[in-house]
Amino acid sequence: MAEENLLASIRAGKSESFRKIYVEYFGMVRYMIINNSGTEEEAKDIFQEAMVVLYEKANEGNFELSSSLKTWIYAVCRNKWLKQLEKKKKNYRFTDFEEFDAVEEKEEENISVHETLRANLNRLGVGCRKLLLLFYYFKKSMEEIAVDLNYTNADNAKAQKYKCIQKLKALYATTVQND
Amino acid sequence: MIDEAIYEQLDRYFHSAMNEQEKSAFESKMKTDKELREELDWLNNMLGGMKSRGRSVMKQMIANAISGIPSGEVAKYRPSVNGKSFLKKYWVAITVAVVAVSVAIAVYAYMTRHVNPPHEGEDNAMDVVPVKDSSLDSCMDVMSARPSEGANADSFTMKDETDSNQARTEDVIVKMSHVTKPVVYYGVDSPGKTQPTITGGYGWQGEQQQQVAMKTTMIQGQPPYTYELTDKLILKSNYTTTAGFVFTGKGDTFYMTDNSKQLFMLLKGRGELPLTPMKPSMK
Repeated sequence: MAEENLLASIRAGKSESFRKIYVEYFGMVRYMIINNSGTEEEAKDIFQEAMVVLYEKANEGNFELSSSLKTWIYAVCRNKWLKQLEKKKKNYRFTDFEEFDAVEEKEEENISVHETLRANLNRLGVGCRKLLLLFYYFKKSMEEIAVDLNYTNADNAKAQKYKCIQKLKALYATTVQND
Repeated sequence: MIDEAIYEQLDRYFHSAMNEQEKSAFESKMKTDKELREELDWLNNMLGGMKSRGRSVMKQMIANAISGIPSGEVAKYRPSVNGKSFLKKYWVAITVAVVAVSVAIAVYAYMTRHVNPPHEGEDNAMDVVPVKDSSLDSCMDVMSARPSEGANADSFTMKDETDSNQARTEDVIVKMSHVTKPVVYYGVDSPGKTQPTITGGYGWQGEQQQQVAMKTTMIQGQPPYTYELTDKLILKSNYTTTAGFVFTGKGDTFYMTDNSKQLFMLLKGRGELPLTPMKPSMK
Protein backbone atom coordinates (compact mmCIF):
# COMPACT_ATOMS: atom_id res chain seq x y z
CA MET A 1 0.00 0.00 0.00
CA ALA A 2 2.85 2.34 0.86
CA GLU A 3 4.44 1.65 -2.52
CA GLU A 4 1.13 2.29 -4.30
CA ASN A 5 0.91 5.66 -2.62
CA LEU A 6 4.48 6.37 -3.56
CA LEU A 7 3.76 5.46 -7.18
CA ALA A 8 0.75 7.76 -7.20
CA SER A 9 2.96 10.53 -5.91
CA ILE A 10 5.54 9.80 -8.61
CA ARG A 11 2.82 9.81 -11.25
CA ALA A 12 2.01 13.34 -10.17
CA GLY A 13 5.71 14.22 -10.44
CA LYS A 14 6.01 15.33 -6.83
CA SER A 15 9.56 16.11 -5.74
CA GLU A 16 8.97 14.62 -2.34
CA SER A 17 8.42 11.15 -3.83
CA PHE A 18 11.77 11.26 -5.67
CA ARG A 19 13.53 12.40 -2.50
CA LYS A 20 11.99 9.55 -0.56
CA ILE A 21 13.11 6.97 -3.11
CA TYR A 22 16.56 8.51 -3.24
CA VAL A 23 17.00 8.30 0.53
CA GLU A 24 15.73 4.75 0.56
CA TYR A 25 17.44 3.19 -2.46
CA PHE A 26 20.32 5.30 -3.70
CA GLY A 27 22.68 3.50 -1.32
CA MET A 28 21.89 0.24 -3.07
CA VAL A 29 22.43 1.67 -6.56
CA ARG A 30 25.67 3.37 -5.50
CA TYR A 31 26.96 0.14 -3.96
CA MET A 32 26.15 -1.85 -7.10
CA ILE A 33 27.77 0.66 -9.47
CA ILE A 34 30.87 1.43 -7.40
CA ASN A 35 31.46 -2.29 -6.99
CA ASN A 36 31.16 -2.70 -10.75
CA SER A 37 33.80 -0.23 -11.92
CA GLY A 38 31.68 2.92 -11.52
CA THR A 39 31.82 6.16 -9.57
CA GLU A 40 29.47 8.04 -7.25
CA GLU A 41 28.65 10.52 -10.01
CA GLU A 42 27.86 7.75 -12.46
CA ALA A 43 25.66 6.16 -9.81
CA LYS A 44 23.70 9.41 -9.42
CA ASP A 45 23.29 9.73 -13.16
CA ILE A 46 22.02 6.18 -13.51
CA PHE A 47 19.70 6.61 -10.55
CA GLN A 48 18.17 9.77 -12.04
CA GLU A 49 17.63 8.03 -15.37
CA ALA A 50 15.91 5.17 -13.58
CA MET A 51 13.63 7.68 -11.84
CA VAL A 52 12.70 9.12 -15.23
CA VAL A 53 11.77 5.62 -16.42
CA LEU A 54 9.74 5.13 -13.25
CA TYR A 55 7.92 8.40 -13.84
CA GLU A 56 7.09 7.43 -17.43
CA LYS A 57 5.98 3.94 -16.43
CA ALA A 58 3.81 5.27 -13.64
CA ASN A 59 2.06 7.52 -16.17
CA GLU A 60 1.45 4.74 -18.67
CA GLY A 61 -1.52 3.64 -16.60
CA ASN A 62 -0.95 -0.11 -16.87
CA PHE A 63 2.25 -0.24 -14.84
CA GLU A 64 2.31 -2.80 -12.06
CA LEU A 65 5.25 -3.83 -9.95
CA SER A 66 5.74 -7.58 -10.23
CA SER A 67 8.01 -7.46 -7.19
CA SER A 68 9.06 -4.70 -4.84
CA LEU A 69 10.00 -1.19 -5.90
CA LYS A 70 13.50 -1.87 -4.58
CA THR A 71 13.89 -4.88 -6.88
CA TRP A 72 12.53 -2.94 -9.83
CA ILE A 73 14.91 -0.02 -9.26
CA TYR A 74 17.83 -2.41 -8.91
CA ALA A 75 16.95 -4.17 -12.18
CA VAL A 76 16.52 -0.94 -14.17
CA CYS A 77 19.75 0.60 -12.82
CA ARG A 78 21.55 -2.66 -13.47
CA ASN A 79 20.39 -2.70 -17.11
CA LYS A 80 21.43 0.88 -17.64
CA TRP A 81 24.81 0.38 -16.03
CA LEU A 82 25.43 -2.79 -18.02
CA LYS A 83 24.78 -0.85 -21.24
CA GLN A 84 27.30 1.78 -20.18
CA LEU A 85 29.84 -0.87 -19.24
CA GLU A 86 29.39 -2.47 -22.65
CA LYS A 87 30.19 0.84 -24.28
CA LYS A 88 33.24 1.34 -22.07
CA LYS A 89 34.83 -2.08 -21.92
CA LYS A 90 34.91 -5.25 -23.89
CA ASN A 91 35.39 -7.60 -20.97
CA TYR A 92 34.06 -7.21 -17.49
CA ARG A 93 32.65 -9.36 -14.75
CA PHE A 94 29.43 -8.04 -13.30
CA THR A 95 28.71 -8.67 -9.65
CA ASP A 96 25.17 -8.64 -8.33
CA PHE A 97 24.06 -7.82 -4.81
CA GLU A 98 20.31 -8.31 -5.08
CA GLU A 99 17.90 -10.80 -6.51
CA PHE A 100 15.95 -9.17 -9.31
CA ASP A 101 13.40 -9.81 -12.06
CA ALA A 102 14.18 -9.02 -15.66
CA VAL A 103 12.92 -5.59 -16.71
CA GLU A 104 12.44 -4.95 -20.40
CA GLU A 105 13.23 -1.58 -21.89
CA LYS A 106 12.10 -0.64 -25.35
CA GLU A 107 14.86 0.33 -27.71
CA GLU A 108 14.21 3.74 -29.22
CA GLU A 109 13.70 3.88 -32.97
CA ASN A 110 14.34 6.75 -35.39
CA ILE A 111 16.75 8.27 -32.92
CA SER A 112 18.28 10.63 -35.50
CA VAL A 113 14.85 12.02 -36.46
CA HIS A 114 14.01 12.45 -32.80
CA GLU A 115 17.23 14.31 -32.17
CA THR A 116 16.55 16.64 -35.12
CA LEU A 117 13.10 17.35 -33.77
CA ARG A 118 14.49 17.88 -30.33
CA ALA A 119 16.90 20.45 -31.73
CA ASN A 120 14.02 22.18 -33.51
CA LEU A 121 12.04 22.14 -30.31
CA ASN A 122 14.83 24.09 -28.67
CA ARG A 123 14.51 26.71 -31.41
CA LEU A 124 10.85 27.28 -30.60
CA GLY A 125 9.96 30.00 -28.16
CA VAL A 126 9.91 29.09 -24.49
CA GLY A 127 6.11 29.33 -24.36
CA CYS A 128 5.61 26.92 -27.25
CA ARG A 129 8.20 24.52 -25.91
CA LYS A 130 6.63 24.42 -22.48
CA LEU A 131 3.16 24.00 -23.89
CA LEU A 132 4.09 21.09 -26.11
CA LEU A 133 6.12 19.37 -23.39
CA LEU A 134 3.38 19.74 -20.83
CA PHE A 135 0.84 18.27 -23.21
CA TYR A 136 2.83 15.52 -24.92
CA TYR A 137 5.40 14.44 -22.31
CA PHE A 138 3.90 15.41 -18.97
CA LYS A 139 0.40 14.47 -20.17
CA LYS A 140 -1.25 17.54 -18.70
CA SER A 141 -4.77 18.43 -19.73
CA MET A 142 -5.48 21.64 -21.61
CA GLU A 143 -7.20 22.98 -18.51
CA GLU A 144 -4.09 22.41 -16.39
CA ILE A 145 -1.86 23.90 -19.08
CA ALA A 146 -4.06 26.97 -19.33
CA VAL A 147 -3.64 27.54 -15.60
CA ASP A 148 0.11 26.81 -15.59
CA LEU A 149 0.89 29.01 -18.60
CA ASN A 150 -1.65 31.76 -17.88
CA TYR A 151 -3.92 31.28 -20.87
CA THR A 152 -7.42 32.62 -20.45
CA ASN A 153 -8.96 29.21 -21.02
CA ALA A 154 -8.34 25.68 -22.35
CA ASP A 155 -9.55 26.54 -25.85
CA ASN A 156 -6.98 29.31 -26.12
CA ALA A 157 -4.31 26.90 -24.99
CA LYS A 158 -5.51 24.36 -27.56
CA ALA A 159 -5.38 26.94 -30.36
CA GLN A 160 -1.91 27.95 -29.27
CA LYS A 161 -0.78 24.34 -29.25
CA TYR A 162 -1.91 23.94 -32.86
CA LYS A 163 0.10 27.02 -33.86
CA CYS A 164 3.16 25.70 -32.04
CA ILE A 165 2.95 22.38 -33.86
CA GLN A 166 2.72 24.11 -37.22
CA LYS A 167 5.73 26.24 -36.29
CA LEU A 168 7.71 23.18 -35.25
CA LYS A 169 6.72 21.39 -38.43
CA ALA A 170 7.94 24.31 -40.53
CA LEU A 171 11.25 24.39 -38.64
CA TYR A 172 11.68 20.66 -39.18
CA ALA A 173 10.90 20.91 -42.89
CA THR A 174 13.51 23.65 -43.27
CA THR A 175 16.10 21.58 -41.45
CA VAL A 176 15.42 18.51 -43.58
CA GLN A 177 15.60 20.59 -46.78
CA ASN A 178 18.93 22.15 -45.72
CA ASP A 179 20.35 18.72 -44.94
CA MET B 1 -3.33 21.02 -44.63
CA ILE B 2 -4.46 19.21 -41.53
CA ASP B 3 -6.74 21.48 -39.54
CA GLU B 4 -7.05 21.92 -35.81
CA ALA B 5 -10.01 19.59 -35.52
CA ILE B 6 -8.10 16.75 -37.14
CA TYR B 7 -5.17 17.44 -34.83
CA GLU B 8 -7.44 17.06 -31.89
CA GLN B 9 -8.39 13.65 -33.26
CA LEU B 10 -4.74 12.74 -33.74
CA ASP B 11 -4.00 13.71 -30.16
CA ARG B 12 -6.89 11.63 -28.87
CA TYR B 13 -5.71 8.72 -31.01
CA PHE B 14 -2.19 8.93 -29.60
CA HIS B 15 -3.40 9.31 -26.06
CA SER B 16 -5.69 6.27 -26.45
CA ALA B 17 -8.64 8.48 -25.62
CA MET B 18 -10.89 7.15 -28.42
CA ASN B 19 -13.53 4.51 -27.90
CA GLU B 20 -13.45 1.44 -30.16
CA GLN B 21 -15.97 2.87 -32.64
CA GLU B 22 -14.10 6.16 -33.00
CA LYS B 23 -10.79 4.38 -33.27
CA SER B 24 -12.04 2.04 -35.98
CA ALA B 25 -13.52 4.93 -38.01
CA PHE B 26 -10.32 6.96 -37.63
CA GLU B 27 -8.13 4.06 -38.76
CA SER B 28 -10.37 3.43 -41.78
CA LYS B 29 -10.05 7.07 -42.72
CA MET B 30 -6.29 6.87 -42.36
CA LYS B 31 -6.10 4.03 -44.90
CA THR B 32 -7.56 6.22 -47.63
CA ASP B 33 -6.25 9.63 -46.58
CA LYS B 34 -2.59 9.89 -47.50
CA GLU B 35 -2.20 13.37 -46.02
CA LEU B 36 -3.58 12.20 -42.70
CA ARG B 37 -1.25 9.21 -42.72
CA GLU B 38 1.78 11.42 -43.35
CA GLU B 39 0.68 13.77 -40.61
CA LEU B 40 0.37 10.86 -38.23
CA ASP B 41 3.89 9.71 -39.10
CA TRP B 42 5.23 13.17 -38.51
CA LEU B 43 3.40 13.51 -35.23
CA ASN B 44 4.75 10.15 -34.18
CA ASN B 45 8.30 11.34 -34.79
CA MET B 46 7.55 14.61 -33.06
CA LEU B 47 6.46 12.67 -30.00
CA GLY B 48 9.79 10.85 -30.05
CA GLY B 49 11.63 14.17 -30.07
CA MET B 50 9.32 15.44 -27.38
CA LYS B 51 10.05 12.40 -25.27
CA SER B 52 13.78 12.89 -25.64
CA ARG B 53 13.50 16.53 -24.62
CA GLY B 54 11.02 15.70 -21.85
CA ARG B 55 13.38 13.15 -20.36
CA SER B 56 16.15 15.70 -20.09
CA VAL B 57 13.80 18.10 -18.36
CA MET B 58 12.52 15.40 -16.04
CA LYS B 59 16.01 14.22 -15.19
CA GLN B 60 17.01 17.77 -14.31
CA MET B 61 13.92 18.13 -12.14
CA ILE B 62 14.82 14.94 -10.28
CA ALA B 63 18.43 16.07 -9.91
CA ASN B 64 17.19 19.34 -8.42
CA ALA B 65 14.82 17.49 -6.09
CA ILE B 66 17.54 15.30 -4.62
CA SER B 67 20.45 17.71 -4.80
CA GLY B 68 19.98 19.09 -1.32
CA ILE B 69 19.91 15.73 0.44
CA PRO B 70 23.08 15.15 2.48
CA SER B 71 24.77 11.81 1.79
CA GLY B 72 24.41 10.94 5.48
CA GLU B 73 20.65 10.78 5.07
CA VAL B 74 20.85 8.06 2.46
CA ALA B 75 19.95 4.76 4.07
CA LYS B 76 22.92 2.48 4.64
CA TYR B 77 22.88 -0.46 2.32
CA ARG B 78 23.67 -4.08 3.02
CA PRO B 79 23.63 -6.41 0.04
CA SER B 80 20.94 -9.10 0.09
CA VAL B 81 23.20 -11.33 -1.94
CA ASN B 82 26.83 -11.04 -1.06
CA GLY B 83 28.52 -10.49 -4.38
CA LYS B 84 26.72 -12.74 -6.79
CA SER B 85 29.25 -13.18 -9.54
CA PHE B 86 29.22 -16.71 -10.87
CA LEU B 87 31.92 -17.96 -8.50
CA LYS B 88 30.54 -16.13 -5.51
CA LYS B 89 26.99 -17.16 -6.27
CA TYR B 90 27.75 -20.82 -6.72
CA TRP B 91 30.77 -21.24 -4.48
CA VAL B 92 28.99 -23.67 -2.18
CA ALA B 93 27.82 -25.84 -5.07
CA ILE B 94 31.25 -25.68 -6.70
CA THR B 95 33.00 -26.62 -3.45
CA VAL B 96 30.64 -29.54 -2.87
CA ALA B 97 31.13 -30.73 -6.44
CA VAL B 98 34.92 -30.52 -6.18
CA VAL B 99 34.94 -32.40 -2.87
CA ALA B 100 32.58 -35.06 -4.25
CA VAL B 101 34.69 -35.58 -7.36
CA SER B 102 37.87 -35.72 -5.26
CA VAL B 103 36.36 -38.31 -2.95
CA ALA B 104 35.15 -40.35 -5.93
CA ILE B 105 38.64 -40.24 -7.48
CA ALA B 106 40.26 -41.18 -4.16
CA VAL B 107 37.88 -44.10 -3.66
CA TYR B 108 38.40 -45.26 -7.21
CA ALA B 109 42.16 -45.01 -6.83
CA TYR B 110 42.01 -46.93 -3.55
CA MET B 111 39.83 -49.64 -5.03
CA THR B 112 41.98 -50.10 -8.10
CA ARG B 113 45.15 -50.29 -6.02
CA HIS B 114 43.92 -52.44 -3.17
CA VAL B 115 41.19 -54.61 -4.52
CA ASN B 116 41.37 -56.53 -7.75
CA PRO B 117 38.23 -56.03 -9.72
CA PRO B 118 36.61 -58.95 -11.50
CA HIS B 119 39.10 -60.35 -13.91
CA GLU B 120 37.12 -59.68 -16.98
CA GLY B 121 37.53 -56.24 -18.36
CA GLU B 122 40.28 -54.57 -16.35
CA ASP B 123 40.68 -51.27 -18.10
CA ASN B 124 39.11 -52.94 -21.11
CA ALA B 125 42.62 -53.97 -21.95
CA MET B 126 41.97 -57.65 -21.89
CA ASP B 127 39.46 -60.31 -21.21
CA VAL B 128 40.21 -63.50 -19.40
CA VAL B 129 38.88 -66.69 -20.85
CA PRO B 130 39.41 -69.90 -18.89
CA VAL B 131 40.59 -72.90 -20.79
CA LYS B 132 38.06 -75.54 -21.66
CA ASP B 133 39.76 -78.14 -19.48
CA SER B 134 38.00 -77.21 -16.26
CA SER B 135 39.62 -80.01 -14.26
CA LEU B 136 42.78 -78.02 -14.20
CA ASP B 137 41.10 -75.08 -12.52
CA SER B 138 40.38 -76.64 -9.17
CA CYS B 139 43.73 -76.63 -7.46
CA MET B 140 44.49 -73.01 -7.34
CA ASP B 141 42.31 -69.98 -7.43
CA VAL B 142 43.55 -66.56 -7.83
CA MET B 143 43.03 -64.24 -4.96
CA SER B 144 42.84 -60.55 -5.07
CA ALA B 145 46.03 -59.27 -3.64
CA ARG B 146 48.52 -56.52 -3.71
CA PRO B 147 52.20 -56.91 -4.33
CA SER B 148 54.62 -54.82 -2.42
CA GLU B 149 54.98 -52.43 -5.29
CA GLY B 150 51.32 -51.75 -5.17
CA ALA B 151 50.22 -52.72 -8.62
CA ASN B 152 47.37 -55.02 -9.48
CA ALA B 153 48.33 -58.61 -8.91
CA ASP B 154 47.30 -62.17 -8.67
CA SER B 155 49.08 -64.41 -6.27
CA PHE B 156 49.68 -67.98 -5.28
CA THR B 157 51.82 -69.81 -2.76
CA MET B 158 53.98 -72.82 -3.47
CA LYS B 159 52.80 -75.48 -1.07
CA ASP B 160 55.27 -78.31 -1.43
CA GLU B 161 58.51 -78.04 -3.26
CA THR B 162 59.00 -81.80 -3.17
CA ASP B 163 55.89 -82.47 -5.19
CA SER B 164 56.89 -80.09 -7.76
CA ASN B 165 58.89 -77.01 -7.98
CA GLN B 166 57.01 -75.82 -10.88
CA ALA B 167 53.84 -73.92 -11.24
CA ARG B 168 52.50 -73.52 -14.66
CA THR B 169 49.99 -70.96 -15.70
CA GLU B 170 49.48 -72.17 -19.18
CA ASP B 171 45.93 -73.16 -18.36
CA VAL B 172 44.76 -69.65 -18.65
CA ILE B 173 43.98 -67.84 -21.80
CA VAL B 174 44.66 -64.22 -21.45
CA LYS B 175 43.29 -61.97 -24.07
CA MET B 176 45.30 -58.83 -24.24
CA SER B 177 44.52 -55.80 -26.28
CA HIS B 178 46.36 -52.57 -26.77
CA VAL B 179 49.16 -53.69 -24.50
CA THR B 180 52.01 -51.35 -25.07
CA LYS B 181 54.47 -52.23 -22.38
CA PRO B 182 53.87 -55.64 -20.90
CA VAL B 183 56.51 -55.73 -18.22
CA VAL B 184 55.47 -58.39 -15.76
CA TYR B 185 56.51 -58.37 -12.14
CA TYR B 186 56.97 -61.55 -10.22
CA GLY B 187 57.63 -60.93 -6.61
CA VAL B 188 57.94 -63.12 -3.54
CA ASP B 189 56.73 -62.19 -0.08
CA SER B 190 60.07 -63.15 1.50
CA PRO B 191 62.64 -61.00 -0.20
CA GLY B 192 65.88 -62.82 -0.87
CA LYS B 193 64.44 -66.22 0.02
CA THR B 194 63.64 -67.42 -3.38
CA GLN B 195 64.31 -66.11 -6.76
CA PRO B 196 61.53 -67.19 -9.06
CA THR B 197 62.37 -68.26 -12.50
CA ILE B 198 60.37 -68.05 -15.62
CA THR B 199 61.27 -70.42 -18.32
CA GLY B 200 59.10 -68.86 -20.93
CA GLY B 201 55.76 -69.44 -22.46
CA TYR B 202 53.79 -69.75 -25.59
CA GLY B 203 50.58 -68.45 -27.03
CA TRP B 204 48.39 -67.83 -29.98
CA GLN B 205 47.65 -64.78 -31.89
CA GLY B 206 44.07 -63.87 -32.61
CA GLU B 207 41.56 -66.09 -34.27
CA GLN B 208 44.13 -67.79 -36.45
CA GLN B 209 45.54 -69.49 -33.37
CA GLN B 210 49.00 -69.13 -34.67
CA GLN B 211 51.35 -70.43 -32.06
CA VAL B 212 54.15 -68.14 -31.14
CA ALA B 213 57.02 -68.36 -28.74
CA MET B 214 56.91 -66.04 -25.81
CA LYS B 215 60.20 -65.09 -24.32
CA THR B 216 60.87 -63.52 -21.02
CA THR B 217 63.85 -61.59 -19.87
CA MET B 218 64.69 -60.76 -16.31
CA ILE B 219 65.12 -57.04 -15.99
CA GLN B 220 65.41 -56.88 -12.21
CA GLY B 221 67.15 -59.53 -10.13
CA GLN B 222 65.99 -58.25 -6.73
CA PRO B 223 62.49 -58.38 -5.25
CA PRO B 224 60.22 -57.63 -6.77
CA TYR B 225 61.69 -59.71 -9.53
CA THR B 226 60.78 -58.31 -12.84
CA TYR B 227 60.52 -60.01 -16.15
CA GLU B 228 59.66 -58.51 -19.43
CA LEU B 229 57.72 -60.34 -22.07
CA THR B 230 59.94 -59.64 -24.99
CA ASP B 231 58.06 -61.25 -27.78
CA LYS B 232 57.08 -58.47 -30.11
CA LEU B 233 53.75 -60.08 -30.92
CA ILE B 234 52.50 -59.39 -27.47
CA LEU B 235 52.45 -55.75 -28.34
CA LYS B 236 49.79 -56.22 -30.95
CA SER B 237 46.23 -55.40 -30.18
CA ASN B 238 43.57 -58.06 -29.65
CA TYR B 239 46.28 -60.54 -28.94
CA THR B 240 45.21 -63.75 -27.36
CA THR B 241 47.74 -65.86 -25.61
CA THR B 242 48.21 -68.49 -22.99
CA ALA B 243 51.12 -68.06 -20.69
CA GLY B 244 53.21 -71.01 -19.60
CA PHE B 245 55.44 -69.84 -16.83
CA VAL B 246 57.45 -71.82 -14.30
CA PHE B 247 57.98 -70.74 -10.71
CA THR B 248 60.06 -72.23 -7.90
CA GLY B 249 60.20 -71.72 -4.15
CA LYS B 250 58.29 -73.69 -1.48
CA GLY B 251 56.13 -71.58 0.81
CA ASP B 252 56.67 -68.47 -1.17
CA THR B 253 53.79 -66.37 -2.35
CA PHE B 254 54.24 -65.14 -5.85
CA TYR B 255 52.65 -62.08 -7.22
CA MET B 256 52.03 -61.56 -10.82
CA THR B 257 51.25 -58.17 -12.12
CA ASP B 258 52.38 -55.54 -14.52
CA ASN B 259 53.69 -52.06 -14.26
CA SER B 260 51.55 -50.43 -16.84
CA LYS B 261 48.26 -51.70 -15.46
CA GLN B 262 47.31 -52.54 -18.99
CA LEU B 263 48.18 -56.15 -18.62
CA PHE B 264 46.36 -58.17 -16.06
CA MET B 265 46.96 -61.88 -15.75
CA LEU B 266 44.80 -64.43 -14.13
CA LEU B 267 46.64 -67.41 -12.81
CA LYS B 268 45.03 -70.73 -12.38
CA GLY B 269 47.12 -73.64 -11.35
CA ARG B 270 46.98 -77.11 -12.73
CA GLY B 271 45.23 -79.75 -10.70
CA GLU B 272 48.30 -81.85 -10.13
CA LEU B 273 50.46 -78.99 -9.00
CA PRO B 274 51.02 -78.40 -5.28
CA LEU B 275 49.76 -74.89 -5.25
CA THR B 276 47.53 -73.59 -2.47
CA PRO B 277 45.30 -70.58 -2.87
CA MET B 278 46.31 -67.90 -0.50
CA LYS B 279 45.53 -64.33 0.12
CA PRO B 280 48.77 -62.68 1.04
CA SER B 281 48.94 -60.05 3.69
CA MET B 282 48.60 -56.51 2.47
CA LYS B 283 51.87 -54.74 2.73
